[in-house]
Amino acid sequence: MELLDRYLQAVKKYLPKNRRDDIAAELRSNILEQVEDKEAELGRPLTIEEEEEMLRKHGHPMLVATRYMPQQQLIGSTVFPYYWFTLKAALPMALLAYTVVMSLTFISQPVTLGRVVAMLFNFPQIALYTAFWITIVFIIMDFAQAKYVKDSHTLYAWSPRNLPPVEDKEGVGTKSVFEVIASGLGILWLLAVPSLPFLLLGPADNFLRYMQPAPVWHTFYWAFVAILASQWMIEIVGLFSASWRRVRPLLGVTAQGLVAILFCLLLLRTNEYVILTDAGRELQKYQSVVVQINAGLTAAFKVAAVVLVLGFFVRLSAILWKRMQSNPVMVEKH
Amino acid sequence: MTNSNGNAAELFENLRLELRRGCLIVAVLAQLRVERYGYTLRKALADDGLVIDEGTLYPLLRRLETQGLLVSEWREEEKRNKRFYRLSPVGEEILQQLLKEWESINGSLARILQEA
Repeated sequence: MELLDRYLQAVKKYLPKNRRDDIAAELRSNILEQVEDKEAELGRPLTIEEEEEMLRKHGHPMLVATRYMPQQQLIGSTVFPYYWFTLKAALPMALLAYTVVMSLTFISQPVTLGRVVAMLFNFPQIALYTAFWITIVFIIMDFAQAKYVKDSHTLYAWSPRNLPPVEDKEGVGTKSVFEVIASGLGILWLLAVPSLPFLLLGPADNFLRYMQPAPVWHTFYWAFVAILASQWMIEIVGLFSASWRRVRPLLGVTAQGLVAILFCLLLLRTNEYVILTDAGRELQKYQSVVVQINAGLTAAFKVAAVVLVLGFFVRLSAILWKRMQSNPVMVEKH
Repeated sequence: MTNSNGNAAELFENLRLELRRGCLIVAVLAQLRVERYGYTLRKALADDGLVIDEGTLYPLLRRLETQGLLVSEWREEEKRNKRFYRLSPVGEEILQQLLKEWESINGSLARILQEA
């Protein structure tokens, strides 16, 4: 029975000190009884292989020992729904707060590719810290709840009267129609600007004799138009299709993200948005005007980029929040 | 197809275990109206068609004892020390309540199945 002794020794290793001898003694007597029964049935002693098989069937020493321990969990089933809800709500909030802080630093400091990449890759670490501290707080809460709150229903005291009112079903409203019209007019305006610059500059379009858009706009202008036009098409389809209406927020936020990326790329690519024409180069006074305009546009585009990035994350958080609200944690009642 | 069959089999196994869990406790309490030690209890349950593995039964006995439903003592029998369990007075009371609940559930189920 050397194998049995080794088995029991292995089980004991995982048992609490004060109960290990008692439990091991009981296991020994039960297993020996089983061996005797089997030997009586076979009419001979068990072979090593048979003994080994019997112990193997009894279970892995660690598992066997674990079953003698009280069930352990860091956060119990009473507190867990609150924990899960908080965790799911906190992560988009953390993302939002992180974006705000990062965006503010972008206004004051020059935009570099390294900083953009660092901003993107630092968030998982922030998310991990957030989740870690929330978990710690809830472990303490669970401990306190188990120790001091005898009635678990206290945590779930509620009244149907206090529930929020039913939300309006999403449908095509007058607002959506006006939004589509406004977006369409906006795109038309954008398309008309190259040939009718006074739409953008007003009476200042005379200056175009001396200044002109920098070559960088040849690419970026059409990229902006393409994104805005796709967004507009999505809005139009959304007016007629309910299934599209459901994904419209996500597509909208994607388009906003793309515009934000374009702005960031524009800022990374150049700080020269206006250049002098041949006529302008001949006049000294326009040299400094162009420098000032470019500086002003750089600042304005930085602000626009921040607003867009911020808006993107706000909308993304809102969508995630809404999704989470519609998928609450199932609380089993026994 | 194989995957969905696998999932269904796994789902059934989980539900079966869930269904058995409560029943096993009632069965163990009922068997221990007569004093037994772990191995003979397991054999008695198996003889009555309720096979339960050692890894589940022996820790369950300890848990029920900690909860005050069983009492136990070490005694020598056939030159071997064995731990004998039997139902405590509290265990007897709880067993009666559980049996009543069981009959009620059983009756409800029978009616539901008849209606269906």
